[in-house]
Amino acid sequence: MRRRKVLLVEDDESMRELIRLTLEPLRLNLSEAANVSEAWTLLETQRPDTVLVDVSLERLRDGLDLCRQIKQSIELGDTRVIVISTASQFEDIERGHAAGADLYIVKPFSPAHLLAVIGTHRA
Amino acid sequence: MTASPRKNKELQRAAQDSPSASAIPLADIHCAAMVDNISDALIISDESGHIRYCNRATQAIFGYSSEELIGKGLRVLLPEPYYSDPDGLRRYSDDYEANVFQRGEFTRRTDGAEIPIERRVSRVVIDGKPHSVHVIRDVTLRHKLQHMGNEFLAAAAHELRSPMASIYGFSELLMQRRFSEGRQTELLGIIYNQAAHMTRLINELLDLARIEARGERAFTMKQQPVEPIVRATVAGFLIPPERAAVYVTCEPDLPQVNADTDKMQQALTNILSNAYKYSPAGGPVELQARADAKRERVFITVADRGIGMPEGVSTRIFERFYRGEDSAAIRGTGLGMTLVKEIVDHHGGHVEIESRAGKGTRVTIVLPAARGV
Repeated sequence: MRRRKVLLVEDDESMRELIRLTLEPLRLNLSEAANVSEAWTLLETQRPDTVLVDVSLERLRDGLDLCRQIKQSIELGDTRVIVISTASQFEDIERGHAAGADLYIVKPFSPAHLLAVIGTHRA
Repeated sequence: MTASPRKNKELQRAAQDSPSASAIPLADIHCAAMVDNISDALIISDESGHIRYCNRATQAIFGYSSEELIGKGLRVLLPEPYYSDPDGLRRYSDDYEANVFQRGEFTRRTDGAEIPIERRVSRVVIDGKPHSVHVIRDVTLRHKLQHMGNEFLAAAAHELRSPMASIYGFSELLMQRRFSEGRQTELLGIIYNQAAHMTRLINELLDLARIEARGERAFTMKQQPVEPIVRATVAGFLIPPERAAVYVTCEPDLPQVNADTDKMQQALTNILSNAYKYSPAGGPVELQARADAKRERVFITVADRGIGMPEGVSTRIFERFYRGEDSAAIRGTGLGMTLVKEIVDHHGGHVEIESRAGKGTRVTIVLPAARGV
């Protein structure tokens, strides 16, 4: 069975470290992008099953646009997109889902929860 | 549709020329003078909701001249959908009683703009018949300030959530999994750094809040020479490892300034801190203090040869939490320069920035010299 591929799009170094460490037990093929343009390169070369994108406040629009474009793309449309954000209001979560996110996780989050969510995806 | 402050001023100026009109003779001329001098609108309506009197301020807020309003129904002042509804006045009263207006009351101006207002009504008897006296205040400015305050609060909470996510996440991992001792120490180090970052953020937020809440009273100004402030700041500044000390040049015999010693040191410290932080490849950091030829202003400049800022960014660095596109790797609170600006503004001065991407940055505090020195 091939290893599942996950792409992490996250500009904060310690957040990347946290998520990397959290997902370690799953032995995924994890690639990391620090911004949206790096993300696109990796999306095309890696074709991950799941994309985990942090939509922190400054880059909220970029992150949600990325999500929308992935979901609307013919080739990548089946990719699961999980959004992580500090924005926790009802409207923020709605906006995330409207952009096509399969799941919306609010920061701070429990690593155990993230592990369970990523771990249960059927490749 | 929101009202512009400029439009408000135009209306207010025009209102100077339009005296209050009245279908009721005002016996006491002093009363009319008083009432025309208040900035709140005062409107008297009869039992059927028609306007019988309005004061001068009414035009400033609603845009109608006082003559235009006499005899009209109150409905012309109501926002949509009541304005266009023939039964609008009664519906508005019903909705008001039913507490429908969660956001407060609004009025419709002649140009269609909706203005937030505060309104008080009382009943009087005039000519033996019941009338209503409405006092109406335009609260646009208050709403705007409140909105800005709320935005700041929300932005601050978001900024705190990010380091908290690291602290929370890494703590949970440390509790639930087994790591080698070396790894444990490393992860605890991350938690520690994030906690330190949050502490800095919280302290700067409180500093900003204190200045904004107390204004001038947050500052203890004293006439004093510039050089000791500069020297004290540099002496107390912790140079990052493997970097050279600040290279200080003070012109002799600088004019004195009026300054709050601690706050000015804090501002200079923030600027020095940025100079080192945004020149990660190293290079000298220089501090120069000089006066202009007429001895009217003192310039304190901190210069680095670091990454500099691209076009258009230098005006944004004073925004709260702004950190710049290229500097995601460089950890800052985004409040350092915001505080500097607040402090220097309260000193009657301003901050000048010169910067070129890849070349470096010069930040200059310009202060007025104390008079009579």
